[in-house]
This record gives sequence, C-alpha cells and structure tokens, in this order.
Amino acid sequence: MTQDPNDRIAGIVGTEVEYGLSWANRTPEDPERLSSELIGHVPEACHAPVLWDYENEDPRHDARGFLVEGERENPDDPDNRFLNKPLYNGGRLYVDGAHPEYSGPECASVRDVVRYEKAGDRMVAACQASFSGVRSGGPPLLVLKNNSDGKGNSWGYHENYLLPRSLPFDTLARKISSHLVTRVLFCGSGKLGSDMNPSDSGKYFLSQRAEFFEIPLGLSTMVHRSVVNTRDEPHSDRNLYRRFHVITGDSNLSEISTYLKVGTTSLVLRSLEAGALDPPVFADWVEAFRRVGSDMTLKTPLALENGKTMTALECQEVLVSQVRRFLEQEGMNAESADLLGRWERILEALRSGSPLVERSVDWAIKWSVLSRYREKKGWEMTDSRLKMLDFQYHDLRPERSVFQMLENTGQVDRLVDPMEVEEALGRPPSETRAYFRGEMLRRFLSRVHAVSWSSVVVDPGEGPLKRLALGDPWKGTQKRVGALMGKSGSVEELLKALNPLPAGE
Amino acid sequence: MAAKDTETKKQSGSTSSREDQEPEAQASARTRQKADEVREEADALVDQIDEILEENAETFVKSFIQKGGE
Repeated sequence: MTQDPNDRIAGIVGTEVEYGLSWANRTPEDPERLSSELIGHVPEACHAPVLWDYENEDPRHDARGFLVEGERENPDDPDNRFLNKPLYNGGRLYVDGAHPEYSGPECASVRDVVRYEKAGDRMVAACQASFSGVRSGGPPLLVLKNNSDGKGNSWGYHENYLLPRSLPFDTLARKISSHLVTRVLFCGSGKLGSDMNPSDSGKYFLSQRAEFFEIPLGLSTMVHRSVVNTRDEPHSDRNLYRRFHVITGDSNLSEISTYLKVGTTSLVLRSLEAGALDPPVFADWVEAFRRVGSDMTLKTPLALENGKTMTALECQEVLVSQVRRFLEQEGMNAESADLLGRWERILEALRSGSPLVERSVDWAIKWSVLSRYREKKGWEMTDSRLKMLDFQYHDLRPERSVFQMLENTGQVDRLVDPMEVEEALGRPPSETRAYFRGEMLRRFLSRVHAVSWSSVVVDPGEGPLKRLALGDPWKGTQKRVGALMGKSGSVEELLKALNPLPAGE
Repeated sequence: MAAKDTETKKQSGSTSSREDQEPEAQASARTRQKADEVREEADALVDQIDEILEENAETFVKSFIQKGGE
C-alpha cells in the first residue's frame, strides 16, 4: 500500500451485516421475497436506482490457490433491481439468500466504519417502518441485527480488510487466528441458550457465532464454517491486493464493541503485515473459539501449540503489548492511539470486573439486563420471555429495541454523534474509492448505468457503455477527484478529465 | 461472571477498611443507601423493559426460524 504508515491505521475496511427477519406470530413462508419487499422500502434519499454490475464478481476463488465449482451470479435486469439497492453513500443494500444485507462502503478510518454501519441499521429500520406502515393491521415484522435464531441457524456478519497480496496467506491465517478467537471478550454480542445443545438452553454465551464453526480454514461461509475464511475475491487489483474476509464476528449494537472489533483487528493486521507480530497460536482454533464463546468465567485455559495453556484474556494481553511495541516504533495517528488505549482499558476492565464492561461490551450489557430482569421477575433462565428479551436487544424498531432504550436512557456508552450517522446515510466517505462511486451517483445519476465495488458503468452518450475500473481502493478519493468532479459540468467533461483515473495518494 | 466476583470482593474489601475508621452506624447507613440505589435502578429497568417487551414471547421465540445466510 502506498499509504504513509503514520497517516492512518491499517488499510481499508468495510463491513457486511445480514439481518434476521420474522413475523411476530409466524415464520415467513418466502424469506427471499420478504427480504426483497423489505429493501424495496429503502428511502429515496439513500438509494440510487441503477443496476449492480456483476461483471467482476466471482466468490469462488480460494486464497490457497484454486477455484471451486459453482455458478457465477448474474441476474437479469428486473431481478437485478429487485435484489439490489446501490446507495449514494457508496454502499449496497441487497438480498443475500434469505436475508436483507447491508454492505457499508469502504472506509479508511474505523470511526467511519462504525458510523456507516450504524447508518445501515438506520436505513433498514426505515425500511421496516415504511413496510409496516403499508401493511398496517397485519402482524408486526421484526428485523433483528443478530446472528442466530436459537435453533441451529446462523447468518453472518463479515468484515473485509484490504491487505497487500505480498503477505503470504498461510502466515496471515496462522498469525491472525488467535485474535479472531479471543477478541470475543469485547465484541461478542451474547446469547441466551445454545443453538446446538438443547441441554444448554438456559446457559448464556459470549458469542452468537462460535458454536457454528467447524474447521480452521475454508472457503464456505454457510456450511463447515471456518475460523479463517479463504475467500479470495479482492474486488480490486488481484496482483496488489487481498481482501481478507473475516466471518467469525458477531453483529454488534454497541458502537464501542464494533469500534474495538474492527479497530483491534486492523491494528493486529497492520503489525502482522510489518512482521512485528509473534502471537501465541492455539492447538485447535475451533475448540478454542467455542470455549471462549461460551465461557462466562473468562478463566478457561486454552491449549497452545507449544503444549502450554493460556486464557483468552492472557492471549489478548500478549497481543495488545506486541501491537503497542510495534506502534510505538512506527508512530501512530490519533485514531490508532485512541484504539490502543481503549483496547488496554477494556482488557483491564474485563480483568477487574469494572462497570465499564457493562456499558460498552454487548454480551455484558445484555447479560446485565437479562440477569437483573430475571432476578426481579423470579423466572427460570429458560423462560421464553427472557429469550424474547435477548432477541429484542437486537430489534431495529426504535420503540421496541432494548439496546435503543438503554442508549436513550444513558445506560450504555456511545462513540459517534447521531448527526454523523445521519450524514452517512446519503454521502460516501471521502478517503477511499467509495467517494467516486457515491459521488458519481449523486452528481450524474441519469448517466450511470450500474456500479459495483470495482466499477462504475457510465453511458457516455454515444457508443457502448463505458466501464470505469476502480481497481485500486485508494483511488477516487475526495482529495484526488473531488475538485475535478465539482468542475465537470457533464459526464463527457469528466470522462475526458479522468482519463486515466488519477493515482492514489 | 468472574468479573462480577472480583468486583464484589473489591467492594467488600473497601467497606471493611472504611469500617475501621468510621462509626458502624454511619457505615451501615451508607450500605443501606447504596442498596436502595441499586434497588431503584433495578426497578426502573424492569419498568422500562416491561413497557417494550413483546407480549407473545413464546410464539415469537418458537416461530423465529431463519434459513442460514451469508
């Protein structure tokens, strides 16, 4: 990457959120259709009515160097529009299988990741409200930002980190595994009851997702889930970049949990990329992940490759100290310093049992509420009203969301101002190619035919459509193309001025 | 939660050290006041949740069945 290491942390990050949905009184018969109908209510101010460009999409590549069998997706135009809602903020709202999904735009700061993800939640909440308004009288539709239904089904939360292709994948996989397994301590979103084992229905878990993981390395995200996902679809120049696709995370409601989840992972990756990380490696990544995900004591010893054992908290303390040493040598920007400080403070708070944990970490916030509520009511832990409370923690309806209630009454900590989230609904971030994508839609909508992560397809007026390649996620920033776009009165002028696209900073 | 246990120990530790320095009555008044605050907070939380919790919890919990995603 051509970035000044002091300028910002790691590379570019984007997150994908799938939402669970169900009628209040029955299971949806056709969740694919329901998801499409729901996203059809996306506010006009957010959605640019163009096609999604599938030309460069191919999720079958494995980072270990092979191509798996399978069909590439390429729906016809009406289906394309039905399933895809490209967004002025540079992101995409769409239907992925049986779920509505929001992919935020590529961001160059972790704070941006948080506010664009929050904007996605707000957008989907707006869809829910509009959809319910049209269908008033029927049963309410619940849209939940969680990852499991309590019956053995999981849907995803994925993070994408831009990394240099030069970093060997096996090194990356081995060295990141311990962080992916143990960061659950501050970014698990918690759940009441096992998805796999009915005898654990009254047990509380730190992680929603850990139970669903079966193998250390693999390509699939729906069956045989792996701690390190090997999907190799960079959505950028394949010779230079890798998009590291992380599928172990839970969807968070707490802004602090999202910030720590993405921020600490970015910092670990940056240290790893520089060869400055020598982390403990667990003997069995899957076993370690599952244990951490279900261990409320935070004290379970986990077997390491070297025959010794370590708790998740001890592993995190090693990681944070190695990252601190690296950043102190390299220098750090304000966001990295803030992240590092918060990371150290949350580990200390977890160790000492400080109330900070119950104000900022999803699993602990939810557990605190559940346990206090249960104590007052005197109910069994297996009472379905408590599981309902668990689900409603993730409810996107503002008037029914337990998390929102806690936020409104000052019982949880926040990171971003609601006005910053408002702005992220309709404007792209400025420091990545998402700026060019979003601004093309905002300024020249009638001439944009389609967009994707790595392209903007424009109608040049005469002749065939023109596909502008966005192969470098660092290009197309406001700094580089903002003035040019502002000056160009037409697509023709812009195309002339942009030939070729100016290089990244 | 281990974290909780540690917190409880910490609190009881500091209470006993205070007791060495101040009259017992004052210390127990302080403990009572703290307990009242905790109880009031818990009551408020229960009211807040009672207001928003769906009534047909059992039906929803049973019928919330998702296809796997991703």
